[in-house]
Amino acid sequence: MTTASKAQPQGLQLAPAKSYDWKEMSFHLLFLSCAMVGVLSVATIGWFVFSEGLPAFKEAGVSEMLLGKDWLPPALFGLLPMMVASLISTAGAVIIGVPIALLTAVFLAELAPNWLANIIRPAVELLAGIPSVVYGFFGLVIIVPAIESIFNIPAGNTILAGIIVLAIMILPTVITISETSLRALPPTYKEAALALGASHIFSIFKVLIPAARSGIYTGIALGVARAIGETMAIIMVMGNAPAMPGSILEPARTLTANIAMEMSYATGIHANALYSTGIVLLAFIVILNGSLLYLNRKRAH
Amino acid sequence: MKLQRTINGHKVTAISPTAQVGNGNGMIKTIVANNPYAIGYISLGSVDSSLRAIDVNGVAATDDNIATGDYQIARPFIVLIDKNAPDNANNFIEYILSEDGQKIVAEEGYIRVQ
Repeated sequence: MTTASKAQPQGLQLAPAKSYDWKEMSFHLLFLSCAMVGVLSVATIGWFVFSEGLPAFKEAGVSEMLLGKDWLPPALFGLLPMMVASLISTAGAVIIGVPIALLTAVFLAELAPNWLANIIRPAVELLAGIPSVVYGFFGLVIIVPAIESIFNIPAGNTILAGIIVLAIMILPTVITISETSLRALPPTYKEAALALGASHIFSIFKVLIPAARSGIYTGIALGVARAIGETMAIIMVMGNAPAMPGSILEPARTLTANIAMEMSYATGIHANALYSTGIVLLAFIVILNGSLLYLNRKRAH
Repeated sequence: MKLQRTINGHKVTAISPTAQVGNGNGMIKTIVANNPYAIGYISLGSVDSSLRAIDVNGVAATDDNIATGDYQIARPFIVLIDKNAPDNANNFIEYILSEDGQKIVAEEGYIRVQ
């Protein structure tokens, strides 16, 4: 019986074991190659984006691209207004969406009676399956006119409309992951807190949520990644004006909308500048994932 | 009033950076038709009864004014082909410029080239 076991027999090694278990090896290779598909995809995309985007940084200058305020291809390639729009819309979506999502997750995991949870949970999962074009259409038809009438401004295609649409889009991601991580906690945490005399709400906010912290951070990071990468819905509701927005009641253009709208007819250095927009987006995602790893690091007890 | 200007030796757009950009004629039409404060720039062939084409410098937006160049903010449709395009591409361009092709252009509401 030959198995690829890692346990070495203690005692005399008589002769070196030369028979391999080919079936085990081939399955190991199969799993390894599946894992490498993901790594190779990321590497290919990263290499492609960098090789197409770096010439624009060389020609226009890194500081002019990252700090310039005018997007006028092929003369000026200032990305600052678009970075500001991306960051503000994502931050606004997180500020509005994450508390709502977290409290909904707490409600579903701890407080809801079964019949109500069985209505809310499918609704949330349905929200996750709606295509982003439909979100954009919903924003264009309902949210934009509502902003026009509430704030009395002539054009409702504003950053605020984008923030509301993005907040609704990240709800299902954060809700499902937070609820799963709350349910995965060992029941002894809650039992101990209640046994020591804490009320139910106190134990939720002071014991359970901090204990499920890493899962909740993961959900938030996935939500933020979705918000930063959202293109179609943003194009329809945010107005896509390339000027630096002065307030959240003005139209703006995000990095993703910039790429999507101009890629079809850009040539030469203009196309390279759009790829460098992609480099900036990749940098944001890497920073986001890095901060998530830092927040989730194991602390020595 | 021109649609382009020059910066650092490159020709760039002269359109205001605070103007909103939409995804195609249809979206601009919807936004302008539903908002009393909106004004937009679309193809002449897309103008229908829900919109009104306005005058620029006293010149009306009609086919003749655009063809002669009196309407100053007109912009041409350009057909691009590769230097070494196959014969089908050249034949297609000849068809567009022929009498039959130009008649189709006029029927759809756009401006004939010849």
